[in-house]
Amino acid sequence: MKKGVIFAALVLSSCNLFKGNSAPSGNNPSAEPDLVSKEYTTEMETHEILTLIHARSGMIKKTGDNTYTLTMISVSRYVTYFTEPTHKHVGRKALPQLIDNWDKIFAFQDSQDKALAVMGFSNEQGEFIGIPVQLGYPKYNSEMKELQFTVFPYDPAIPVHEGTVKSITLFIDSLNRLAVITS
Amino acid sequence: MKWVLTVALFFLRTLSGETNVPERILFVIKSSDTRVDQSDPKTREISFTMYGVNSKVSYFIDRPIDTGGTMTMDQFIAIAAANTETKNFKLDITAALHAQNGDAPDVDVPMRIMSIDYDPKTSRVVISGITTVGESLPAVGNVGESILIVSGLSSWCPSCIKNAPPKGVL
Repeated sequence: MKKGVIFAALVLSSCNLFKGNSAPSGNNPSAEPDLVSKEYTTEMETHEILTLIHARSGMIKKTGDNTYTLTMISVSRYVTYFTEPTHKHVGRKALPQLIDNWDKIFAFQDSQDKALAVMGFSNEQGEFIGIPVQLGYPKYNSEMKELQFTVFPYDPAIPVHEGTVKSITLFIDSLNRLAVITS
Repeated sequence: MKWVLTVALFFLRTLSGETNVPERILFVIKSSDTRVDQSDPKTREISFTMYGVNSKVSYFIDRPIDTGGTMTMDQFIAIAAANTETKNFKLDITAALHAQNGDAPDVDVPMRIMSIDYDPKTSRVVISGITTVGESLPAVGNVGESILIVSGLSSWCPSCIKNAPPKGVL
């Protein structure tokens, strides 16, 4: 009996039957696909969302061994998110909705509340550069339109850029994977 | 009993798609200026022109091979056209426009792109799409420097994986 219960639990978990993914199939763009907050949070918990945060500029300072502070200045009030590419769903949410749920969204990871992300920005030649990092401890000041993260390098071989950068975008993947741009 | 469980789990995971997580490729297109040419809150259709577009499109793949690179705009247009045609539209790609919009609040428009036209002589890209938000569409007019993020499948561009060295994943 006990073995049967364990087997049933394993079957259900591997089937992902309880996955809270309610994104539309994407074949009918005329339907209103903007998700309500509960569904958004549920989708984040299923590790399937890629979230983008934009700011007009950013300041990156080294604050300790392998620790930096990123201040996003004039940060956009919205975050954009993509579901799994096969679902073809894209939407946006207010920035505080991501920040307020940060611990809930990223606490499942081994990295303990740190999100894996690519920090993308323009270099002096206007080219897009991406640096893989881990992000944690967000602090949002809505009046100043500033968002601050503690940044940890992902790979010691890829140094975190210090100083002021313009047009910064964070690509935050809630799946425990990471991307890097080599350009 | 153990091998029965192992085999059962393998098939169930395969059937549920858990072992076949699709690889996402993201394309990043930057412009120095952007103009919203048409927007209709009722139909949620929008068309806009990106000016001063970088001739190189950055891309990266976030799973399972963490790598990236650049391609020309022409290559990107060809890839998009070859892989996204559907019954309803010439194209069907999820994307998000972010424009800085001068002194006004930034513009963020998630959308399904229906068409892209690129003119290399003028470095202009004209895009039409259907937004996925029903309110606060940007009005017709200039919205400034912008970045367009396009989300697709890495299978669209096998050479993007082949030409780039794989990086480790966590």
